[in-house]
Amino acid sequence: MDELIEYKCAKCGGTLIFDSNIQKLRCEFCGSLFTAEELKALQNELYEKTPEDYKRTETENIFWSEQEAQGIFSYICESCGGEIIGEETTAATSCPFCGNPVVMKGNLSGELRPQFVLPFKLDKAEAKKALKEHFKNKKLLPKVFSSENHLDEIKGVYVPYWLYDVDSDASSTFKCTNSTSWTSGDYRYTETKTYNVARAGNMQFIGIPADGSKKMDDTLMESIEPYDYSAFEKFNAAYLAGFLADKYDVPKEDCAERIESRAKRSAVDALRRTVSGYASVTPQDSTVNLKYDEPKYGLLPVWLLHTSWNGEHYLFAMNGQTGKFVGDLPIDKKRYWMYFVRNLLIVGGIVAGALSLIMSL
Amino acid sequence: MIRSLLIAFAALLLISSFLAPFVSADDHPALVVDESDKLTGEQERVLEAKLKEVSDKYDLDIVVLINDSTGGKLPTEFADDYYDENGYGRNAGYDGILLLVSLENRDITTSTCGKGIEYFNDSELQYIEELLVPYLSGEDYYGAFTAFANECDRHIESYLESQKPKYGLYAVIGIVAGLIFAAVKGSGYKKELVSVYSKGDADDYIAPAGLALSVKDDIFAFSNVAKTIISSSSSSSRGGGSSTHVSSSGRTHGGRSGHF
Repeated sequence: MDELIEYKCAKCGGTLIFDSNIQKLRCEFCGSLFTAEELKALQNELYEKTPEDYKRTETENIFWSEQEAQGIFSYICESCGGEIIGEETTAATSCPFCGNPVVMKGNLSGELRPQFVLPFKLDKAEAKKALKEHFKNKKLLPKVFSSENHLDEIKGVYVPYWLYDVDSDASSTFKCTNSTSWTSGDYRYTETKTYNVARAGNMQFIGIPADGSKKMDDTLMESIEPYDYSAFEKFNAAYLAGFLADKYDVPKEDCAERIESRAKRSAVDALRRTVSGYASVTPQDSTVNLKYDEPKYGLLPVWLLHTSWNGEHYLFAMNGQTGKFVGDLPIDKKRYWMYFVRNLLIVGGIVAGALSLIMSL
Repeated sequence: MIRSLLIAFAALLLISSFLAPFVSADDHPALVVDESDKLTGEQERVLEAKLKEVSDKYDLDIVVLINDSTGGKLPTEFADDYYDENGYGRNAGYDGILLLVSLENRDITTSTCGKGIEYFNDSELQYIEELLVPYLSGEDYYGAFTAFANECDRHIESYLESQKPKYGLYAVIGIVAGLIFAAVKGSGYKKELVSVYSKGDADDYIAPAGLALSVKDDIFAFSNVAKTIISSSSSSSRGGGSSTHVSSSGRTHGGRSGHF
């Protein structure tokens, strides 16, 4: 059974949210600060409550069609009594009526309980600032995009990730050549020496990430890598307060192929980098054997920003730890051709003029 | 009074300009100097006319000299001094080329000055020497000098043609360079807008220990030797520079000397 958790201040009962700047839970009312561990100790009984202690309605009790109801769960907010609609995968959200952050404990326990969480280091203001920075120094970005682009939604999401520790044994062969030339009489001689080069070695990878949420675009999530795993904390649901979170809905088995492909490429590239001192290096054969145990399940922080302009929607993502910001931008084709013609005329004119001048001297 | 003075001045100018070519022609030393009397009078006249025609065409003196001896001087020194001391050379740079054939030691020598140094580089002078040797060995001096005049004509024309600015070609090169630059720059501008891309590797997650190599073999397999002939230029212009030296009069000369 799922249950709903709001983190309440141990001193005044006000709602707590996780403040990424100070890395603590802060009471919005009395300003008290708690670490996740302190709060857990103070509110231990909260975890001990049975689901029946909370009001909860199942989907069959509300007027959703069978199709609509599939995968949709509703909860009653403990603070205001409002109904919170969540997806089957929702692990943390906020009440749309009173804004109180809530955590669905059922999606974060048992097999679904993450082993690690990487707390947000950067807040919403920094994400907004990064969005503005992202528009700067882009020659082909439509001039009005920055001013007319409307920020529809910004949300901090803990994205479920499978993290693979991989051990690779790789071997590669290369055909390499070196050439020397000399002249004798009326002839030029070129000697090309060919070498058979072999490399093999072991390399380990720590925590290659694969996003475990179907909702998240894999390419977008790969674009904001990497994360610094040294800041990992043992999972505590208190870190999720004030943010959205999903449980995984992509099984770890489905991520293995992508992880293997990335590890293999890095292993082969690493072997290639050890081959030096040749004029040409042609890869021949490569074999990579990979071994990995069960992946770890962790939550990584991502800011998602939805904007719209000219009827089009644009999605941006920021690594909630490092601030790496990505998101494709529209192109002003008129400006592209303007720059193209300008560069053509300037460079073409300079080259033709310089040639005429040099050759007439 | 003033009117008659002006008429007189204009008449003087007209007469002097009319006489000028004849005066300078008379002053200019002969372009064919046959001290060994190896050419007939008719041959000398025809050759003089031919050399003058080519010399005027390109505005530099083309001179041939045949004598018995260089008087103990090195042939190059003798040719340079003869050119300098006998008033050869046109314009401020004393532009010209002199071919000396000296019979005592069977020397064939060229001396160039001013534009002559630019037009006739070492390779071209060597080519002229190789061209004339068969004539001289067969004592066909007229044939040798005629071939020299013809080669000077052909070579200078070809050289000047190669030096002419080719504006059409420069414009095409400019457009191609501009297109490449604009395309590369445009591609760079487009890339600024794209930041979402798939990661093909896992380099960010390699453990600090990195790669532990267990096999590192570099085994020599075989070698090939390719032999290509160094192409000797058969084009109308021979590449390379001109080596120069300073004559006893202090002028800079190019040239070379050989035997036939």
